[in-house]
Amino acid sequence: METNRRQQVALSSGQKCLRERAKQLAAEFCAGNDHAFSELYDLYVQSLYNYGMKLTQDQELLKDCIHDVFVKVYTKRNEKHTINNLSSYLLISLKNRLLDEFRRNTFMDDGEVECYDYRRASEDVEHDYLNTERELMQTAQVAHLMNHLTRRQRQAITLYYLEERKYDEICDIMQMNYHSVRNLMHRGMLKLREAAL
Amino acid sequence: MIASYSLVTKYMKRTIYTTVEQFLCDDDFIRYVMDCVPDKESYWASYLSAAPQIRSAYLKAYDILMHLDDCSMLTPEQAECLKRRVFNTLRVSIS
Repeated sequence: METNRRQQVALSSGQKCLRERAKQLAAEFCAGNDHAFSELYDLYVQSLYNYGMKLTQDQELLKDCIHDVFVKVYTKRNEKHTINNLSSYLLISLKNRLLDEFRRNTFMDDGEVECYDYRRASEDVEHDYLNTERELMQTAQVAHLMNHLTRRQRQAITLYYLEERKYDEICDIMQMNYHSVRNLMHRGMLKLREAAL
Repeated sequence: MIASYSLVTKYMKRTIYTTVEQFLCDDDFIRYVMDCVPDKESYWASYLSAAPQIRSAYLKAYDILMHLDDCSMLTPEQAECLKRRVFNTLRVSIS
C-alpha cells in the first residue's frame, strides 16, 4: 500500500485542479449549459478512450460505445449520482457497454466456429446425410409442437431460443415488461412439454 | 463490529483476481481509485494481504487508472468527429 499512498500524493496537485474543474463543469452542465457538456467531453474523452483500449482492440466499437456513454450521461444529467462521481461513472458505464457488446459478439462468433468445426469433421458422407435427415425430422417435429402455442408464446420462444435474444431485447421487441415475458415463456414451455409427451 | 462484518462478507464475494483486466472491470475498484474514497483503503489493503500474489496486477491496474489522461491516443480530429456524432445524436433524439 505504500506505493499507492505515494502515487496519491504525487498526483494530488494536478489531479485536484482537474477534479475541481470537472466538478464546476458538472454543476453548470446540470443547470442546462450545453457548453459545459462539451468541455466535459474534452476533459474525459481521452481517458475514456485510453481506458477502453485496455479492454478491446476494436477502435470503431470503442468509439461507438464512448458515443453511447456520453449520450447516456446527457440524458441522465438530472440524476444526482451520475454527476457526483462523474469520472468513475463514465468509466463504469463504458466498461458495461463494452462487456454487453462482447457478450453479443461471442454469441455470433460461437455460431460461426461451430459451423466451421462441423464442416471440417464431416468427412463421412453417409453420417452427414443421416444427421441432416435427423435434423429435418426434429425441425418438423418442433414446428408441429409450436402450433400448440399462442402467437405471443411462439414469438417469445422463437426470439429466446432460436434467435438467442436477451430478455431485455425481447421486452423491447414485444413491448412487454420482463415479468410478462417470463410468464409467457414459462407457460409456452409447459405447453410444449405437455404436447411432446 | 458492523463495519468489519460487512468487510468480511464483501471480501468473501470477491474472487481472487489474477489479471489486470479483472481489476479494471471491477466497479468498486474503479470507484475507489477514481473517486479517491479513503474509507475503502482498508478494504483493499486486507484484500491484498489475503492474497499477496495479486499485488502486481493490482498495482498495475491502479497505475493505469491513475494515469488515464497522461497520453492522447485519439487524435484531436478523431475526438472532434466523435463529439459531433454525440451532439448530432442528442439533437435528433431531443427534437
